[in-house]
Amino acid sequence: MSVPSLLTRVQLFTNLSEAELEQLAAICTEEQARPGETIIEQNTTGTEMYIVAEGSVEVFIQGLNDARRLVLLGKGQVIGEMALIDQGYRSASVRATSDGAHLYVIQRDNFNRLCAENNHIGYIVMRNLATDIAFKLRHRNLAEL
Amino acid sequence: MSDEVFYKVSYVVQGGKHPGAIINVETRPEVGDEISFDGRVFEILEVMELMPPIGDFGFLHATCRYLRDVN
Repeated sequence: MSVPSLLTRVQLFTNLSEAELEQLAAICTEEQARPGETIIEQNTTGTEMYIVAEGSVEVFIQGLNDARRLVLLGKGQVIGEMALIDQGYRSASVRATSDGAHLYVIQRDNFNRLCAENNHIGYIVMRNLATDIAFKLRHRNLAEL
Repeated sequence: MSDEVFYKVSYVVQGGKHPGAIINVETRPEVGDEISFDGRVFEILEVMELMPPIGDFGFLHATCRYLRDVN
């Protein structure tokens, strides 16, 4: 399956045309995370957003004495997306589960450049990103009941 | 937009000991289905729409319970 075909299965990119998916695919690189490998480290800076293409990752917060798992994210989910928005420190750590994970990586500068060139991509992806964050918040609320 | 429909599903595990998972699936989950993640198999007890669909995506929430470890 080509990268643009895979991107149609990512909610972040829903409502984009095939031509726009091709443009996004052009700025995606691929990475393989080994089982247990840390992909994002809490309280560090980062300029990348990741999309889980295969496998799964677990998101956890490291406290003073222990780590608390927040959620498991599988195929099609986005991690590190806040780095594209607020440029702040990573709010949590993320590591590959025992399955490992195949990831697409989008660099913030490349993404911003693409959005400046094509405002429609920027609008759609930012709207979908807001939906993704809302979905994660709703999941979190239900998980804490 | 493709003709396919995908579902972004929030799986919450009864009991609160497991943090749950968010996974995209290509078939709508149904009550009684088994789903595996994190090396465990869970049974789906309830499915509800979490948010209205957008584009090719439906947004669902499923409550499930632990059944067994995968092998």
